[in-house]
Amino acid sequence: MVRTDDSFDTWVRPHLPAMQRYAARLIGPLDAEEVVQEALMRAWRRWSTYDSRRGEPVVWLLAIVRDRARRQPRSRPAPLLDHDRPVDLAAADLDLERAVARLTPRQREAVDLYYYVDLDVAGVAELMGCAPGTVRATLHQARLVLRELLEEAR
Amino acid sequence: MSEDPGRHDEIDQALRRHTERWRASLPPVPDLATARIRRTRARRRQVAAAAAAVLLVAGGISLATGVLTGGAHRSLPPTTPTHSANASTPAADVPWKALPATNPTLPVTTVPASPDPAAAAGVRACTADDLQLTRSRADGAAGGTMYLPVRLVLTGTDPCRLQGYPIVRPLGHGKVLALTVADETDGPPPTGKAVATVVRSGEPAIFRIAWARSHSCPVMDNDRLEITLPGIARSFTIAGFGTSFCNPGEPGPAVMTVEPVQPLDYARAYKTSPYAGVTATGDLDLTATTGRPVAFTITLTSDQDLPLVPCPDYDIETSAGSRAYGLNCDAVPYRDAEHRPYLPAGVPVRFAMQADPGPESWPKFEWQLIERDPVRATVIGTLAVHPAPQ
Repeated sequence: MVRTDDSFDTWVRPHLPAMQRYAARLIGPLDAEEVVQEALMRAWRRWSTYDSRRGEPVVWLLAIVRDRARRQPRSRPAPLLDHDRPVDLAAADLDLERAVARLTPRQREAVDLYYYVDLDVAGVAELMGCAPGTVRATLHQARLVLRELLEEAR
Repeated sequence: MSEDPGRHDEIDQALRRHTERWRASLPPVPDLATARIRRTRARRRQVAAAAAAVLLVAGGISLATGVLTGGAHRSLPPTTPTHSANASTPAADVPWKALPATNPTLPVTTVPASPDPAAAAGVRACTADDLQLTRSRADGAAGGTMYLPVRLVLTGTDPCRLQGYPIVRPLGHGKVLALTVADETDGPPPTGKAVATVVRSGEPAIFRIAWARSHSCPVMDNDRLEITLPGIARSFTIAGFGTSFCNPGEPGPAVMTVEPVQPLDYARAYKTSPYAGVTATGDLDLTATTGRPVAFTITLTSDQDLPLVPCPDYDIETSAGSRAYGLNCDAVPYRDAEHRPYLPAGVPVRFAMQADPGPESWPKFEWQLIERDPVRATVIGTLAVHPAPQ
C-alpha cells in the first residue's frame, strides 16, 4: 500500500472509536480527545514502521494511546464518570464502576480492554503481553473480585 | 466479544450491559485529527526546506533480552563509586552537545515472581495434618461455567510446601460421577503450570475447580468432591457443585478442570531496566524565537548508582517534530571506580539542552529520556514561539 495522508485516514478511521474508548478509560473522557490526537500524530509519523505481520492495527494504535496517556499531565483526577455529560446511570452502574476501580492494575487493564474497549481475547493478550489463557484467567479473577465487592455494597 | 468461558456469568452480563451504556455516553469521535495532521505536515515541509538543522536518526531503544536476576533496577555489577565530583556539592551543568542518537541496547533485569517459587526449595513437604481445606462460594451462580475456589490453610505454624495438580473425584451420593476431570494447562504459571507453593500461617494456598454445570448433560447431582493433594496420600472431601442442568440437545457431560496449587497472591515476574529508577525534572514552560535554538535544563536523578553505560538517547518533541539525540555522558562529572560516567544515587545531575523550537508554539513541549516502557523519565511543558524581530 502506498502510504499517503489519505490512505492513513482510511486506515486509521475504523479504529478511532477503540482509541477514544481506551483513552477515556486511561485518563478520563474529558482528556481523551487530546490523548487520541497526540496518539494519531505519533502514529502518523511512525506509520512506516508498522508491520502488519506483527499484529493488528488496532493493537498497535492502542499501544500508542497508552504511551501518550501515561505522559499526559493530568490537571485533575480522572473521574469515575463524566459528570459534565448527564447520563442516566442506575445505581448498579455506579456500584459496578466503583468496583472496577478497585481491581488490581492487571485485572483493571484486562476488564478495560475486553469490556470497555471491546477487544477480543487475542487482542487483549497482545496488548497486555501475555497468553490468551492468562487473559481469560485474569478476567475470571476480576469477575470473582467484582462479585465480592458488589455483594459488600448491597 | 467471544472466547471467554465466563461469558454467561451474571457478572459478565452486568459488565456487558454497563459498558454498552458507557460507550453510548461517550462524545462522538471527533474528525479533527486528520485535518490537523495535514496542516502540521504542510508546515513541516516549509520548515524542512528552510532549516539548516543537522539530520539526526530518530532513535528507538530496544531492550536486550540478556538478563541478570536480582532486585528491581539492578542489572549491572555493583558500582564502587569514587566521585570525581563531590556529590554533596552541586556540580556544574553537563554542557550541551548535539550528539547523534546511537540506539543503544540496554540491559534488562527480571524482577522475580512473588512469592518466588525458588524460595520453596528448602521447605518441607506438607502432610495431611498440616492443612485444612476451606471451600469458597462457587462463582457463576446464574449459569455457565462455575469456578469453585478451594483454600489450603496451614493448621500449625511450621510452613510446608506443595506443588502440582490436585486429583479431584466428583461424587454423587457416594458414587463417582461419569465426568472427565482434567488439569488446567492453559496459561502461564501459576494458573496453567504448577509452581512450588509454600503454605504459611496467614498465607494460604489456593486452587480452583471449574465446571460448566449448566451445560452438562445428563443431569447429575455433584454433592461432594473428593480431593487428593499432590504428595499427600489422604484425601479430603468438600461440598460439590450441586445439580447440573443443560439445554436440550447439548452434548455432555462437561469436562471439569482443576488448576494447580498456587499462592493466593501471586505476582508474575517482569522485566525492568536500570533506567526505570531515573526521574527527570525541568522547567519546560519556555518562550523561543523562530529560527533560534531554545535553551533549557533537564535534571536527572537516579534512585541508585547508575553507570551510564551504554549511554542512553533522549527525545525532544516540538512543532518541528520529534528528534532523538545521544546524552552527553562523557561530560558527566561523576566517575565510578571503573572510570565510567554515572549518576550517583539521589544526586541530581543537570544537563544543559538546546532544541530547534520549530515554526510555531507547541502545547506539548516534551523531553523524554527513553521512549520504551518501563522507563518514564519525561518532562512536559509548553513552548511559545514568536517570530524573529525584523
